[in-house]
Amino acid sequence: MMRTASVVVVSLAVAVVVQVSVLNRLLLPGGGVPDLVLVLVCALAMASGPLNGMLIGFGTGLCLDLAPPGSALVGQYALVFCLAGWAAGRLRQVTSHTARHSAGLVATALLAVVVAAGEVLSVVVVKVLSPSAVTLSQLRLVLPSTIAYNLVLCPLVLSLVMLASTTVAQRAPSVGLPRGLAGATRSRRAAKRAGQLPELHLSRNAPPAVPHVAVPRQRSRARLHPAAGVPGSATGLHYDRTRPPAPVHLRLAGGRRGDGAVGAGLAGARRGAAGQDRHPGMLATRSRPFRPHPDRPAVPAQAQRRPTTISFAGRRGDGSLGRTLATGRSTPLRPAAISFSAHRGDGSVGQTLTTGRLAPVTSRQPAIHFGAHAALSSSGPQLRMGARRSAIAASTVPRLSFAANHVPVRNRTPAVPRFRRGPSGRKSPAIVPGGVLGDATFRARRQQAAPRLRLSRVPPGMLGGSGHPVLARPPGRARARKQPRFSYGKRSPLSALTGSRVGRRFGGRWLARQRAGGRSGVWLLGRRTGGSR
Amino acid sequence: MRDTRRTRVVLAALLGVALILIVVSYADSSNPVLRSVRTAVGSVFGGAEHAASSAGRFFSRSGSDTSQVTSLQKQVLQLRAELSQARISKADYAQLHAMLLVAGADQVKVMAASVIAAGQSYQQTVTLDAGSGDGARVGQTVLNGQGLVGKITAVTATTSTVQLANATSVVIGVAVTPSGQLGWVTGPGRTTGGAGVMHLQMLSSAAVLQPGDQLVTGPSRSGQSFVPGVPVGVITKLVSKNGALTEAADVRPYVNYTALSVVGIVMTPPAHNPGFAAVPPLPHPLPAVTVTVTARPTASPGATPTPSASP
Repeated sequence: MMRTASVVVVSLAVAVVVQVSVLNRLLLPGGGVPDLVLVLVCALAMASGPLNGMLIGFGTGLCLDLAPPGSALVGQYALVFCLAGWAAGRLRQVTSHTARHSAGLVATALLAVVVAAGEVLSVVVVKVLSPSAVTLSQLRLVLPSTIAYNLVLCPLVLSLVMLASTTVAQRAPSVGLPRGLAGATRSRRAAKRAGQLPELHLSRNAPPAVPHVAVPRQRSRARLHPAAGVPGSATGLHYDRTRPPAPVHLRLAGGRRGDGAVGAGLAGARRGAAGQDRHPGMLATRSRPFRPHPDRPAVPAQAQRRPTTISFAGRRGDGSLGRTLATGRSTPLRPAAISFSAHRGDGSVGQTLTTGRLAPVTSRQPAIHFGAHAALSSSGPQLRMGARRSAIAASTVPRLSFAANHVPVRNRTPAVPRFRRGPSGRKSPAIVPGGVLGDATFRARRQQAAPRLRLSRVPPGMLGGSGHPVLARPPGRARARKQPRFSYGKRSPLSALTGSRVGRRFGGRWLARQRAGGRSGVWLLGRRTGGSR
Repeated sequence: MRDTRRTRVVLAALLGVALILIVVSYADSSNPVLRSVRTAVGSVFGGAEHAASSAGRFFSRSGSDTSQVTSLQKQVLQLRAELSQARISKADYAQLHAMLLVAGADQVKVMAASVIAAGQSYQQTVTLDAGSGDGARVGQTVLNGQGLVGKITAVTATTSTVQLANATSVVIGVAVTPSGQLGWVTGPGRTTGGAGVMHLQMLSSAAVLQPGDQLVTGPSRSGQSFVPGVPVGVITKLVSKNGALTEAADVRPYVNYTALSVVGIVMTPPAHNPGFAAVPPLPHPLPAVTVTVTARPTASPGATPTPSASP
């Protein structure tokens, strides 16, 4: 913590000195100079969140106000930089919800926008506070050039900040400055050092010959991945693009070294029938040979201590399959589970959470989540459907993917397990493949469409329901429903827009939603009551 | 990371503090608390700026060259200052000669200093490496080899802040060379190339301007404004506005405000107004000077004939 904070403070002080004694004296076309301090403040804020961002911005602005040339009014840069830092910190969550390959570009664009806005704001503040200090003709000349120079500076500074934050996050096992600079709560390397190997091993195709001696691991190259909060995403393990996308195998290890896969107790019984290299628990790729783990030799069945559980319920112990097999319950370690639920206790497919989030490190259990939101997990292994942003996406670390990796997320057809279709047959997936939906997005979608899978309403003891109406609309969110904004008559030209089929394509639906007129009752309540159009 | 209640509270608190600071410094810029904070922070950052600018100078040129250039520039400055005493325009020769005899000991003392930092984009301020320890005081005029640079507005122990003369908020009282008519000049602020066009507005409606007329800082009470007699610029174009009572003109400043390096702080103002002594010679003297002098209605009643008037 202290280390990160000191790095930030020193870099900002250096930036202030460089700004006033070098950059401000430059003679550049247009009359503007790059504003290194503003760009750096926004980049740091983007890496560390709104609270830290505004603190950084305030302190730096105050330094700029007080450092020898100073400003006429103390506090004007503190005001502007504070707001800019806060805004940049707010926009951080946008990048954390972006797919990994475009996150850097998005972050740079957002940073440029924030910096330009900050520049405009500082001009406005100067103009308001001391109108004679700046003229409009001067503004027309200087402001565009300043923004242009800042634009050049943005990607440079942002990549430097990300690089530095990656280094800091890898050095210190627990990054203090909240969430770390790039949001990595714990780098993969640090987790490995602490003995928390990923408990879910997913072997990739083309495994090397058994037994696998320790391959000298490639030092991971840091890349620009400001996906905040994704473990290991900022460290950006090297992704080997030259290898063709290969099908993967699923192996569910118990978390113990050397133990096997799903249904450990069953494995010994069926071994004769299924063959030596076929695992009974294999579902996805039956034709492929089963390998327990590429890194380790297979272990005899006696060594597999703990049977695993496949649970379709969220709560431990309710509605789970094969719980009776859990002979190893007396052991402090918990059995492995596949959980199709996200929150404990709700039955929804796709809401996110690592099961072992609050549990102590030693008793963390592996889990498969469909559409997991990686930002919430701390260091537990995750399996996401088709997400490129997987924390364990690396050439050496295999990956399980249920979707084609090379298809962009938005082009994929929604392949959602539908348990119940709505009465109107609307297609609004409760879960979007790709797993890139954030918490907020998911919630927003839930407001529009009723949840497909309603397991939570089922009485406890049945299919996974625990009685918690998690998927029910939260009371606070009910007000977020669109309220009618304006009204128009039945015969107005606007009603033609909503009434005709063509018009509905061009904003008619939206218009109808905004409308408060005579018929609006049917329109507005249509979704809820199931009323027809 | 969502906006929590704590985040909002902290944001509001920080913005409030910033606004309070602005209000305090707006109401009274010489607030003792504010000034002490400024001095403390300024001494820390001033040292860093010293180091940064000296390092930058070291990297930009080799050391011997730098010191040579600096010493030469200082020499030019000193000579220019002496020139303002020594070179007297012939028109005022008799009067000024008498004055110089009276106040012969009075010389403009100039202390050389280097620019080590510059203010943010819209603030035409620079920092010099001479502070109150060297004798710099608030209100002193700063000039360089070409002409007027600005005025000291704040001083720490080792640094001083100069408000440049081309800032839009600065008004310079000037006298036009041949006629001595008074007017005022406002700066363009920061623009391309640094040598933006200043704007001259005359006080008197009777004043007659010509392109090529030179401007010096006008007479002033000591400490109130700039030291008199420092060259400001030359008139490039007359601006005529319909209905304007007085004449206006565009002025090209002598000083390039974005390429300042060595400047001089006027420690002791001249005891008398040196007039147009320090005005640099024009490349080709315009005949208009003669015309102006003869056309002036208030010709000097004295018996001493001016050299230009005598055939």
